[in-house]
Amino acid sequence: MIVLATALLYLASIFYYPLFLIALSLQGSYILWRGLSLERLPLVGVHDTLLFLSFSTVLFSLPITKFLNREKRPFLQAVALLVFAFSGASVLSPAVNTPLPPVLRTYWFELHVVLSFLSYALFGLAAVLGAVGLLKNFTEVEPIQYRIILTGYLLFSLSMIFGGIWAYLAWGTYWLWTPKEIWTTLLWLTYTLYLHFRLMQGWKGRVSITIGVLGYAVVLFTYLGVGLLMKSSHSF
Amino acid sequence: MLLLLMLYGGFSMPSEEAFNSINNTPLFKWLSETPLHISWWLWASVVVIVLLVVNTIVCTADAIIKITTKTGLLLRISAQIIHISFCFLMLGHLLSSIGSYHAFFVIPKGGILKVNEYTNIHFKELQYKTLSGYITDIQAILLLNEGNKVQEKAIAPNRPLFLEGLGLYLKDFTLFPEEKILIELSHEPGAPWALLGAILFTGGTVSLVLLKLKDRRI
Repeated sequence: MIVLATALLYLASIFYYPLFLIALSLQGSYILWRGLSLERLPLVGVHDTLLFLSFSTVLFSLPITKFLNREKRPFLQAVALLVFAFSGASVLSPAVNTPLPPVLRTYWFELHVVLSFLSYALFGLAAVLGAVGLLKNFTEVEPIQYRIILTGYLLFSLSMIFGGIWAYLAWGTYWLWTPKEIWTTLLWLTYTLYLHFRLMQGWKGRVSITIGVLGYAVVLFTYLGVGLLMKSSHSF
Repeated sequence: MLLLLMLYGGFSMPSEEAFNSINNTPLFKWLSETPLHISWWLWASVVVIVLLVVNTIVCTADAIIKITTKTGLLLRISAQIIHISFCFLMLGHLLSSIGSYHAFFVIPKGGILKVNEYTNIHFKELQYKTLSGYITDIQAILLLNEGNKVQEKAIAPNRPLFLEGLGLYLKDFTLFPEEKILIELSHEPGAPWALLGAILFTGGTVSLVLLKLKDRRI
């Protein structure tokens, strides 16, 4: 019920902003409650990961708005729509309430997963900001989008490194050839390409904004597509 | 190009049974034994990565040689440290792709695994904790016999035992009708180089990100 209420509050916040912050507080409280009752980070399964992604996305959006002017309202409305979709989808997914199996009981797992989703949140915000910029012709968002993606890239790279260290300790190898790792590489290459393209003359502006938007499709497939559609060590 | 190859691989891999064994042998051995119509994209990716590494080494050396002023020095060096780290990461992958070793053994309680001429391990017992019927913690107690020296050791998920360059991993277990463990003996020659690359990458990227975030000229 709380998750459904949060989703609806996000949707309603498109028209009345204070509901955005109420939904954030409610969602954060729910995640905290789940963590305390499970005695672990609630980050296993579609339900919990979608909620954490939603929460992180909203949380990161707040400091970003300090750098926006005329883009602020459409940006927040688009973020509200995005997190409504995530929160709504989490309602449809059953929560995983079992204790963590031994192989997941390590700080490396927690670091790996938390950093992954924090970076997904940043890539999502960059995509939203870029889409708003393109649709409304607000190309002054480009430097802000760049900073968001750069920070997301750092966190995502760190998540890959911590994942590799964990894999070495858990499975004897820091790299496995599975669909998840292939798509993770694809995701990393996409944003590496974005960062390098932006340095090239003439590519800063609408072109780089567009790449920053399209990169999110790779994020979503890496997170949800691989987990739900393909057999891999990261299957849900 | 690499993006497109990986994109193809990302979709083709789940549907090809040949990929089920890719993680049990060194990559180049697997590539040499797998039909080309299945593995071509991976071969092509290796070629592209080699070209990328050569390009990175040449461009990085060129960039470092051309540094003549101190303006923006830390930013430029950070970028080159990231590029160098990429090369170490690829070196790690190359070494593991050639010389990695993974072997699996089922050992019943009381059973012995001979690691080499002088070393064997005796599986003594499993110790575990449960919560609401789920196993939350488990470790295998082993007796490690190295020459005439016997020591009791424990291995658990995420806590392997390292012996003379080999890692001993607890991969799986059964409790009933008798206790058995599945052990993996693993050797990854590229791991230290990959770790070095990861450390350099982290340092370089953190530095670059902090500098770029403060730069108002972006």
